[in-house]
Amino acid sequence: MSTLAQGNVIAVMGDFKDPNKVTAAAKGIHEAGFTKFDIHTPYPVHGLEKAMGMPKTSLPKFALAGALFGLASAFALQWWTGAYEYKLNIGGKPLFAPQFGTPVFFELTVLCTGLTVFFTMFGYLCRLPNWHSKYQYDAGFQAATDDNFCVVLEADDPRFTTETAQALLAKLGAADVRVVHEAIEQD
Amino acid sequence: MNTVIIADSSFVQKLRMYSLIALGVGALGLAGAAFFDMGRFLQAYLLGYIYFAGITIVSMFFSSLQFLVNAGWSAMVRRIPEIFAGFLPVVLIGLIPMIVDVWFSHKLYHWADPSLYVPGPHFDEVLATKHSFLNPTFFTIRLGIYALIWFVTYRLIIGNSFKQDESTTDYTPTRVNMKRSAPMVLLFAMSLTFAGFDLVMSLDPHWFSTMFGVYFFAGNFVSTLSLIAIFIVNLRRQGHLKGITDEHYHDIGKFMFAFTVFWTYITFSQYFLIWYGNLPEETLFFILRAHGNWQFLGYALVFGHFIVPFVTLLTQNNKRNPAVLIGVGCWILFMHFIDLSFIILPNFSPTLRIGWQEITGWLFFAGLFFFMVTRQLATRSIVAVNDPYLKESLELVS
Repeated sequence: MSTLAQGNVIAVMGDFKDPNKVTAAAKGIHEAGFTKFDIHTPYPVHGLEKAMGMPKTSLPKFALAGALFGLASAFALQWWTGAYEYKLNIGGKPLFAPQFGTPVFFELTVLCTGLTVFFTMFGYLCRLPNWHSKYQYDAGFQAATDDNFCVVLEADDPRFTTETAQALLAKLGAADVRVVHEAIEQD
Repeated sequence: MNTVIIADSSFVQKLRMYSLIALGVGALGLAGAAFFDMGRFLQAYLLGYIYFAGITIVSMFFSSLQFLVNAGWSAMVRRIPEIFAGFLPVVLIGLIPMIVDVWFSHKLYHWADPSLYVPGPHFDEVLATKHSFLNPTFFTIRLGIYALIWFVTYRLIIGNSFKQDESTTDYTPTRVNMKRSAPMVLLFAMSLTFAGFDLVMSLDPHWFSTMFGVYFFAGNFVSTLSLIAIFIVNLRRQGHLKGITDEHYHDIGKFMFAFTVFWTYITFSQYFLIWYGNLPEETLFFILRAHGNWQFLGYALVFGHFIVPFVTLLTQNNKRNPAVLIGVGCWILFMHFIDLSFIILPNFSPTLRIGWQEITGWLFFAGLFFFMVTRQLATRSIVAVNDPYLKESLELVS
C-alpha cells in the first residue's frame, strides 16, 4: 500500500453545480487574464470554449494537409502502377485518365483526411491515451464525471498566486474553493 | 408577434425597379428572337423558364423539407423560399409554349414530329420504340399532372405556412404541415425528376440517363440555396431581418457547400458511368459536349461550379462572412446558367452558341421572377412570426 504526501501547490479548484454559472465563471476567469485554466464537466457544455476564450483549433490545417497528401498519393498510385511501371491496356481505355482516377482520388483523400483528423485530434491535440491526471486524487475533480462542474486554475499560469486565484474563484461564486497540492506516492 | 411586411421599403422599391427593367429588356429581346427565328426563341424561352421554374419548385420543396424534419434553425429563413414560390402561377402558365410546340411546331421537341413514326425516309426506329411514352398526348397529360402536384403543394404546404401567421396560439397549420409534407416531398421528387426527363432530357430523345432527374434537382437546389443566401444577407443589411445572425449564415453556407459537393458527385457519376460504359446510345450526349467548343463550358463547370465554391466555402470564416456568401451565391447562380446552357443548348447547335437571345430569355424570366417576389413582399410577412420553432431559430448556435 502506498500513501500520499503533499508536494507543491499545483492548482486552485472550485466547484459549480450549474452549467450556466460555470460558463459565466469561465468568462470571468478569461477576462481576469488567466490563460492556463481548465473546466471539467460531466457532459459537453455548449459555448463553454468561447467563454473560456480558447483559440480556434488547429485541426483543420492538419485535415487539409492529410487531404492533399491523400490526393497526391492517389494520383501517384494510379499513375505509377497503371501508366508507368506496369502498363496494362484495359478495354482500350487510356493508361491513366482523371475520369477513372476520380473515385480513387476521392476515396484516398477522404481516408487520409479521416485518419489524420482522428490521430491528430486524439493522439496529439487531446494527448490521448493518458492514464493519469495530476488532479485525480481531488474529490471534486472526481465528481466531475458525475454532477460537478470543476474549475481548475493551474499554478503554471503567470498570473497565478494562491491568494489571487482563491479570491477570483470566490468572487465568481465557486463553492469549496481549495488549494490542491501535488500528490507524491510513498511506499 | 406582429407580422413583418416590408412593402414600401427601399429594398422592395429597388428590386421592383430592377425587375421591371430586366423584364422590359428581356421581353424586347425575346420578341426580337421570335421575330427572327421561332426555334431560337423557344430555346431561349426554355432556358430561362427552366432556370426559374427550377428555383420556384425547389423553394417549395425546401419549405416542405423544413416541416418534414421539424427543423428549428430554419424558421427564420424559411419564409424567403416561400416568397419565391409565389412565382408558381407563371411556372404553370409558362408550360403552354412547350405544349404548343409538341402539338404544332416541333422546333423544340423534335420527337413530336409525326413523320418520324410513319414508314418512310424520316422513320426513326429508336423513337418508334419510345413512342408510347414520348407522344404529344401523354406529354401533355404528364405536364398537367406535374402542374397539379405543384399547385396542390403550394396550396397545402405554403398556404398553410402563411396561415400560421394569423394565430399565436393555434399551431394546427404547422402541425398539419408536418404530416402533409411527407407525401408532398415524395410527389415533389417524382414530379421534378419526370419534369426534368420531359422538358430537358427529351430534347435529345435518343439519349437517356437514369441519373438525369437527380442531376437536374442538384443544380436547382444549390442555386435556390444561393438565392436564399443572397436575399437574407441583403435583407439583414437593410435592417429587415434582425433575427438573422451569423449562425444562420453559417448554416446556409454549410448547405450551399454540401450541395455544391452533391451536384459534383451526381454530375460526375453520370459522366463517369457513361464514359466507362462507352455505349453509343449513352455517349452521344457527351460526344456533342466534349468535342468542339462546347467542351470549354464543361471545363468551366468543373472549375466554376465545383472548385471555386468548394474552396471558398471550405472554411468556417468564409461561410459566416456575408460578403463572401453574396459573392459565392452570385457566382453559383451564374454557373447554374452555364450548367443549364450546357445541358440544353448543344441539342440545337453543334458549336458553342450563347447569344443575346439566351441572355434576354434569362433576363425576361429573372425580371418576371423578381417582380412576382416584390408582389409577394407587398402582402406577406418576411418572417414566419408564429412559427413554434422561431424562438429556437433566433437562439441558434451552430
